Amino acid sequence: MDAIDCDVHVAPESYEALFPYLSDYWRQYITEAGIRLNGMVAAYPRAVAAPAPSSYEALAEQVLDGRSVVLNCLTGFETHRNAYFGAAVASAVNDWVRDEFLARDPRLRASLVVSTLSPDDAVSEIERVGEDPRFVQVLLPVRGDLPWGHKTNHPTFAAARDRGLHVGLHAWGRAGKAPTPSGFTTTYLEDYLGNQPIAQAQVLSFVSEGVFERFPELRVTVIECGFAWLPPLLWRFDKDWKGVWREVPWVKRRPSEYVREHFRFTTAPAHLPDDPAVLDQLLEMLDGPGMLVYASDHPHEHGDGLTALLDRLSDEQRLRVMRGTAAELYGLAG
Amino acid sequence: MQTQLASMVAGGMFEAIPGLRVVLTECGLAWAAALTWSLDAAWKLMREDHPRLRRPPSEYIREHVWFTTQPVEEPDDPQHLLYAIEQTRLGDRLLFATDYPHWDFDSPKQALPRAMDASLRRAIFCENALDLYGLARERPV
Repeated sequence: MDAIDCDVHVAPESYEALFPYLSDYWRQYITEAGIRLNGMVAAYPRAVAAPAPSSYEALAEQVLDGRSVVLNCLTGFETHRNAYFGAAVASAVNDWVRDEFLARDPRLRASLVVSTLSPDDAVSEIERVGEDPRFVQVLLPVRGDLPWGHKTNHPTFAAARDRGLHVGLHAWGRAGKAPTPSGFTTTYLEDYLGNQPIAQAQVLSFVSEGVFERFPELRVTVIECGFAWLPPLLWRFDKDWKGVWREVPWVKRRPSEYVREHFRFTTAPAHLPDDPAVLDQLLEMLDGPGMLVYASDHPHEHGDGLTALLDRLSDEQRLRVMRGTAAELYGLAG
Repeated sequence: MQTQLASMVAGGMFEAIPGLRVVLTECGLAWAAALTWSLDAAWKLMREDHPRLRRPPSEYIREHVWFTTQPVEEPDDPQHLLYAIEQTRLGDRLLFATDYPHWDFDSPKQALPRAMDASLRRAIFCENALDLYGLARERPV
């Protein structure tokens, strides 16, 4: 069985690699202002195996072993607050990913990246490249300017839905956004784990703002934000919805039902209990591993949670996590 | 509240002030288990960044942090809440609270699962708070 790896990173080594896809104006802008890509190496000092592959050859050597792969390029997450620049970089990244990777191997799929600063640019980019079936989802950073369920973003979801695309919601986001509701953190540990409560807030936002009533076909994969936190969140979400449902009449079913139907979560990082019996309890609370999809998150290292998880699953469940659920999600052969 | 707790632990607050006790109020409790798993797992990867932390983050939480129950999480299967309490290993750190008069107050008669054993129920309703706040166990005559 070949896995479907739902989160493999690729990144250009520098903005210069994107120059073939940028206009003279932006090449000059980057050169004269001395804009540089920091890359994830600088952000993840102790848990990165190597820089994210910047070429098909590097990807093949480091990752490809028969598995299918969904490529995620986070380069645009670093883009500063010039909305025109954000849109230009998003287009350049998509063209680079298509030419450098997708065109060279039929096992590859990718997330389509969009500007996170202006929804109309996001829609235009989805219209420009979203018909290409090798792009399977629209990649959004979990840290944005507004919760993603906000109506401002609904045209983005409509454009995705119209092309059979889903949404990938990935950890991290634009520099300048605090990782907690109370402000900036001191340590990387807090920043890293901060992605989880932000993802929780996004889950609440998508459901509470009625995104899935408007776009019933839409699925959202939460990437690199963990999943062990989900059961208590859903217990609380259902309980509080019962108390204030009149505020959100467009939420027609229990919130947990929308989440189970529309959300998927990648297995890296897993962050699980050490005791296998407690892990069994967690899987029971999750109602099984049906929402989980395998991801290596290459080249990042999150510990051995995946192994611990797979050890507690039946053969059939393991196949679902490693391939089946993602195959259905992205329309790949099961 | 999750990020505040992570901040207190990662910031070395409990190493700096060993006698400090913190009560987290009006945020429920069941989320604590997953937070401690992720703090411990991430600390294992990054402990060199945290020379001030001498023990796994979960141990600081276990020693220094109390939780009020309201709004207590209500899973479809009440047993799951009991699992969650067991998973947090914080049975002696839970304090009952109603949050009266807010709309989402918890009734002392109904909020906790009936299947909860009597000693844990008594600890949450009474014993844990008596211990934490040093209150007299006998009523004054």
